[in-house]
Formats: sequence, structure tokens, C-alpha cells
Amino acid sequence: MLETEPQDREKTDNELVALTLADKGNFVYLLHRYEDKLKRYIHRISSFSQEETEDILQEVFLKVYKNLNGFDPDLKFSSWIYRITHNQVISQHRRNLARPKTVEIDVNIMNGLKAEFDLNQDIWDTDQREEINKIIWRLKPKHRDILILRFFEEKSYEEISDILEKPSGTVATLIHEAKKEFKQYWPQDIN
Amino acid sequence: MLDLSEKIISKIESKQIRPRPRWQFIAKKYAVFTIGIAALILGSLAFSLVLHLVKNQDWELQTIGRYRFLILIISSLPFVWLIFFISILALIYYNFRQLRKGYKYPTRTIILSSLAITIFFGGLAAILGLNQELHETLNNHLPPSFRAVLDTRRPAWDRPQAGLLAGKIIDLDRSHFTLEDPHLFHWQVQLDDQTVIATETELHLDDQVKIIGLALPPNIFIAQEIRPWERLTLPRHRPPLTPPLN
Repeated sequence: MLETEPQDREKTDNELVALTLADKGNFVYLLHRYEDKLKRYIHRISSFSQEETEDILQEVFLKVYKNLNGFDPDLKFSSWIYRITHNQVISQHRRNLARPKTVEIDVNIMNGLKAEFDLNQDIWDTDQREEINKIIWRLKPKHRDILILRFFEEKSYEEISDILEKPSGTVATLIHEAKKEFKQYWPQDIN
Repeated sequence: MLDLSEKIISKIESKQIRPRPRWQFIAKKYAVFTIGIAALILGSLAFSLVLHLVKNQDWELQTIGRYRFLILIISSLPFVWLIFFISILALIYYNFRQLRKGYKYPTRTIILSSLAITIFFGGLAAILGLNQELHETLNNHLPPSFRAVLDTRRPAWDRPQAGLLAGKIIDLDRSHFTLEDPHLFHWQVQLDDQTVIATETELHLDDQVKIIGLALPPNIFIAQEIRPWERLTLPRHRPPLTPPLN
């Protein structure tokens, strides 16, 4: 396994992009930095198997590598790579959407959701987690995508705007609509 | 077993994948920009042609009972240029979205801005008379069938049985001239003392004119009023009519 050297962890994404363009060997640091994050993101927005996710990720990283000269430094590299990942997943036409699906919901995400959706702060149990999972997958895809980016990937409105290539105002509207749809499905007896 | 990072690095090396050169991205950026500017110019010109056709429409045809006003409006809308104009707006919108930060702007902002820009420059072109020159250039260089499609005033004047006729003077005499209509049919147009000629100049060979009158079989047209195709001036009586021989 290729190792990430400690000094490279301190470098910014943009510096690593410049270093990769000078020497392709440096691409491995970007790979290590984003591999797990993107794998998790693909799992959250799709129902691809582990193997399919790796294939998608491979495509994503090859696209990123080929288009490094086109990367706009005004944009956050993370937004750019998430955008490429999102589009790659979309291009697979969500064909595995019908499969049963769960998203990882850790304590931080759960607390964030509780605060955001006015859910009962004292309840933290499997029922709620399962309910959230079910609801997330009942939402319209555009609402699910935006909620996952906002609350699971913890992206700012600006970053979501760059990832989904939508105006910030549209992002705000979509988040508002997604929350409304989420609450509509949230059973009152759990709250 | 190789992990994902190693697989990717090894694929890059084995297939000798290289980042696309920077010039390709720069070229794309300039191409998008150039297409955008070209689309704005074309949109402005299309709008100026719409203005020209609407302004030069013979709206008074309905007052002389040849057309109902609503039918005249619908039939005289320059659909080809309007469709072209709307297509150009769509192209501008798509093009703008291809710009690096194009997605930051709401659809209505992009549409309204491009509409405002094309209307402004189209209006400016109309004030400067560029639209008329462009219209005449197109008229002179396009085959008659295209002219009829592009110039929506033509169908209104292509109804000899209703007393409306337009075309080009191809032969000229003192009391009559020969007119070639858009279907290349030749009419013998007869003039008399009562014929009104709404033109500041004399009639000449190759002039494009429109005539209100009466069609008689097989190819006679008694002219009551003759107007130049492009300019609409107030009618004035010219007794007696003596068109010069060229």
C-alpha cells in the first residue's frame, strides 16, 4: 500500500494538484485524501455495491487526473471532485436504486438532523435511525442528494452550489423543500 | 492484492494516461466565449429584423377591408425570425451555462439579461438603419421561395384574387408594366389616371413594388395604388401617370 508522507498531509489540495502536474507520482496523495470520503459519498447517494463503487471511483479519479489542467483554482478542489463524482454516479442512471439501501448515520449526523428537523433530542435509538434511512430513500432524488450533501457530507451552501452546479438561491430552496418533504414522512409518534 | 490507489496509479502508468494539455481548456473557454458573443450579435440582428418587418407591415390593409386585423397580425408575425431569435436565446443560455461560473446565475437572470442585451443592440441596429440594409441584402441574395418565408409581409401581398399583388418590375411602358410575382408568374399591370403611386421616385425596372387593384384573367392586373416594397410613404396622386422608359 502506498503511504502518505506526513509533510504531504499539510499541503493544500491546490498545492497537491500543482505537484501532481509536475510529477504524476504525487497523485497518490490526492487519491489517499479523497478515496474514503468519496467512497462513503457514493454509498450515501446510490445503491452501488462495493465493487461497483470502486469502479466508479476509479473512473472519477482517472477523469480528475486527465482534467487536472482544467481545474479552476477559484473553486475548492473538494467541490470539483465531488461534482465529478456526483455526475459520474448520475451517469450510471441510478440503475441500482431499487435495491434496499441504508446510509451510515453516526452520532454527529444524528444530532445534526435532530437539531435541524426539530426531532426529539432525547431519543437516540435504532428505530429513529431506521426511520431516517427509510425516509432518506423515499425522498425525491434531488432532495435526497441535497440533504446528503448538507447533513451527511456537511457541505456549505456555496460548496453544494459548486458541486451540483446550481445557483445558491436554488440550493437554499431545494434544502427548504427537502426538509419539508422529510418532515412530511417523519412519523409523529417517534418525535 | 492492490488497493484502489495502487490500481489507479498502475492504470495511469500502464495506459500512459496524461493530463489533457492546458491549451485545450483555454481553447474551449475562448470558443465558448466567442460563440456567446456571436450568438448575442445574431440575436440582436434577428430582433432588429423583427422590428423592421413589424414596423414596415402594411397595417392599413385591414382598414381598406382586405384583411381582418387579427388575421393580419397573426399572418404577418415574422415567425421565422422570432423562432430564430428564441433559438439564439436558448443558445446564449446554454452557452452561458458552459462558462466556469455560469451555473451561479439563475435561469431567469440569464434569460432576462440576454433578452435585454439583444433588444438593446437590436434596437440600436434599427435606429442606425442596419436592419433595413440587412433585410435588403438578404432579399437580394436569397431565392424567391426563401424571401417569401423570411419576409412575412409577402404572403399578405400574394393574393391577386383579393386585389393584392407584389413583385419585381421586369418591363416598363407608359401605360403598363410587367410584374414578376414570387412564383415567377408575369402580370401585365395596367395604369390609368386614377392610379395612385405612393413613391417618391419614378418607377424603374427591377423595382420591387406592391399593388392594390383588380386581377383579371388571365394575367391582367388593374392597378389602383402602387407602393414601393420597402418604403411606405403617404400616397399622393400623380395625374396623369407617365412612368419613364428606361
